[in-house]
Amino acid sequence: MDLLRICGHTMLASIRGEMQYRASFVMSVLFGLLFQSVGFIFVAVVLTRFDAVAGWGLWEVALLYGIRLTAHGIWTLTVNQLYRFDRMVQDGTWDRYLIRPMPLWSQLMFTQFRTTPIGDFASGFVLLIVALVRVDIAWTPERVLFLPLAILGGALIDGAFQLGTAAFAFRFLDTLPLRIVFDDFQGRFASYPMTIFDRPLRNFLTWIVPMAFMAWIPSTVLLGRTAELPFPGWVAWLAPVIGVALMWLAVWIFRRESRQYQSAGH
Amino acid sequence: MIARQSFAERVLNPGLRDVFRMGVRRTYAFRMWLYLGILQVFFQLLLVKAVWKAVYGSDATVDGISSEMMLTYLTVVGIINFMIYPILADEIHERIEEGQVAVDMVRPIGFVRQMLALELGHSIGRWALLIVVVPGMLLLGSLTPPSPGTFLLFLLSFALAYVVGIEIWLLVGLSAFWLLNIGGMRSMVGLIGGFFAGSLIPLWFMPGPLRALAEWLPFQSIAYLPAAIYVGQATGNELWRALIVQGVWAVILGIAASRVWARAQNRLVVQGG
Amino acid sequence: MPIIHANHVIKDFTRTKAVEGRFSAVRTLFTREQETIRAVDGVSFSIDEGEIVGYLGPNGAGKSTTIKMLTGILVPSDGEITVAGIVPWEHREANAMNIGVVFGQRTQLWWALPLQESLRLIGRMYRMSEADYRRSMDQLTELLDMGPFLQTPVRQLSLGQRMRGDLAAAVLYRPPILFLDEPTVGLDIVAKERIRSFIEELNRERKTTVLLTTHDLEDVERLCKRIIIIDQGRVLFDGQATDLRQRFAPTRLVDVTVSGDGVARLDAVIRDLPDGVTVTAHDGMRASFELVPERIAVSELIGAIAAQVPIADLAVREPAMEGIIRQIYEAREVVR
Repeated sequence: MDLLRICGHTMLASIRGEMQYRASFVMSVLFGLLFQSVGFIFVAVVLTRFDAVAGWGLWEVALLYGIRLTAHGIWTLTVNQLYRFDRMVQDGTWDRYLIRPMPLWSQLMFTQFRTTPIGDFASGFVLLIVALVRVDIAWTPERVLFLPLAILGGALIDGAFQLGTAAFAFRFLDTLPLRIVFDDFQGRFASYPMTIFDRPLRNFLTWIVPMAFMAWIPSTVLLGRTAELPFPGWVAWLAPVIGVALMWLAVWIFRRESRQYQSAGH
Repeated sequence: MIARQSFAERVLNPGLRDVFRMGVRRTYAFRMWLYLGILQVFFQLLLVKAVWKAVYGSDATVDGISSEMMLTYLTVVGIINFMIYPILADEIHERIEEGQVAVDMVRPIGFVRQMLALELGHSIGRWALLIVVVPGMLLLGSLTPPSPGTFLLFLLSFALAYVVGIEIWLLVGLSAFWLLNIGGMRSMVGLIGGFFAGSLIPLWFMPGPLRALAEWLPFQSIAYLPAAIYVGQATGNELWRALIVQGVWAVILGIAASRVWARAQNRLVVQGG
Repeated sequence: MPIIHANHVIKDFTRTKAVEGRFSAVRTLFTREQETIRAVDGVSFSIDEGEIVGYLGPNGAGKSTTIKMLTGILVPSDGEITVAGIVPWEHREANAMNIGVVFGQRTQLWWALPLQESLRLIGRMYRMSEADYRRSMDQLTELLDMGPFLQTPVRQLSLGQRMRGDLAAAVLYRPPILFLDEPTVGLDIVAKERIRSFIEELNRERKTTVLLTTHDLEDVERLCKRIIIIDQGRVLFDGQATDLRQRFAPTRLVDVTVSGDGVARLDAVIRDLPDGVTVTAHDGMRASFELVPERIAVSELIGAIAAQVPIADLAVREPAMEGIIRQIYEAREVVR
């Protein structure tokens, strides 16, 4: 397909552009790795001293963490320009995207490459693989199919939040603090078995801001722990669907908000 | 004939007061980031509290530390992390990047002194929001007060922690005279420093080798030591040891900073601004 | 059938008003007063293929807003626009294929890569065949003299070189319409002239329609036969540049330089000027006369002067556009 080939070229070009700054390329990847590691090291250290947290052992938490991180990595690797979307709106880059003969989503994805997400993804993937090896999972064909779908669903949930908050940039030019709040919140809370949270917080994260479906709920499916969920087990299998639904909602919000675009920057 | 300024006049140069005030104003100009910081401190407490509560489970005490003490520790560390958040490094980096540093250095007040005054202003501006932060943290956590004597020593420890914190970030900022982009270094120091300051895990729960490493690094002086004093984990000899460790780091880092600064000034002259 | 057609276009913006007074910082958290600003207020014009139109107006007049609606960046609050038969915001991508845009201040090139690569990428984006791309590339390289710096990363280019690169990028795929927003800003005279000749050439060879926004009135003098002046969202003047001159400054200027021994006689001429002539400058051997061609022909004045004074040098010019435009801005009234 024409479009895909063009996208491939723009992506390659921007990768080559990034590699011009070789030192910071490596540093960015390393930094991504380190940043995510520290988060996990916290849990790892705690769980070497103590056996379990809310009945989850080290490798079970690692699985959860790995799923979330991989999902996050997949999203940030593919659509990695949203994080500075408000800057694009302010400095006129968005204007340029609007006058190019390419769909906006493809330009958001393929015209600028960031290297930090490589570190994000790499750390998540490694953690996931190691956890899968160490944890005892009763594999069934459904579970084997479920894992990649749940990860993709998680990526969509992550993306939906990012896209939804980025949409605010059309109305209020500076949304960076808001998006950092979201990102921060999600990074913190979505990587743990939510049974450690009080019921109100747990419900909030399941029904209102459905971060629970990113990693915790899919993990319970794989580990056969769906009993600790506040709803019947089969609902947990819908995690990928939730991802699609949320993304659809986010795209709708984004499209609507884009009509508010005032192109105030010059 | 050039009038010689007394030491007091040099330190309390009225110009410095203006820079200080600028620091305060700067904090409020970037209001959003301040609110963000407050939210992050709340989120952090919420999370670590939940993790540690789950870890403790039904045990009231682990290794002689009660869950109550643990919660207080986490709350205090959170508040300290909010209070000690220097923007010093970023300011210095920005001024070097934009070339402003050349102008700054020509002023009658020393560049570093200006930066310190700015940072102090920024800190005070932040601390004004303790009216919001402390009650919030109290709601989320606990702040079982120590004895008045201990509290005074805690304040002393906090003052030392502040000094050490400033010095570390001053050094990070000064590295901008050599490295073009300190962004990566800054993030690493923030991350590693935060971890070894005991923000997530108090040093007493760290496994042997990790704890040994933490005790050699200056970061424990920024948050862990004052918090340990507050919750009564460091008492008697340990308490004095903690204060001495902080004091020693304050001195070492201070000397390091002035040496680095001397070199930096040299470098600027060589490069021709 | 005009290639660009705008009919009664209106664009309103909502801005949040800063709350004033006590505790303004806190109050902005709770209340958000909004006000509506009408940036474009019923603008209409039609542009035919092959025209070069100067789009002028003071800052904040609504120029950029109009251009952004023509290019599909903004959606009008009311009114119609068609560009090459397409409604820009409804068929964004199709419209994009027909237009080339240069924003003077911002580049569309990839910062870290050599210029050539940016252009290649753009060729791909606009689905140019290899042959087309090569041909266009060769032509543009020659016209804009880009050979020396095609392999240089864009971030290392001088402003003039970058401008040429941006121009090349905008016309590479031969769009029928070109929007130029301050294309000569910040350039030295030589560079400006090069850009102007290029635009002229493009218009002549390919009949490219050009809508030029600029504050540099020399650009206008050189390139634009037609001028649209806009202020406060309304069109104040839309017509031929010559018409504008005729209406506002129907005068001619004659600069005379006399040879050494004619200074005294020049003084005599000045003291006794024919009807319809005024002196605008007088400096020893040189003088400038302003005349109204309706009252006295240029040839008549030149003849009268030549008869009395030995002329070393003589020039006839038209008054600067600048004065005319300024008059219109200041009047802020529609010129009929």
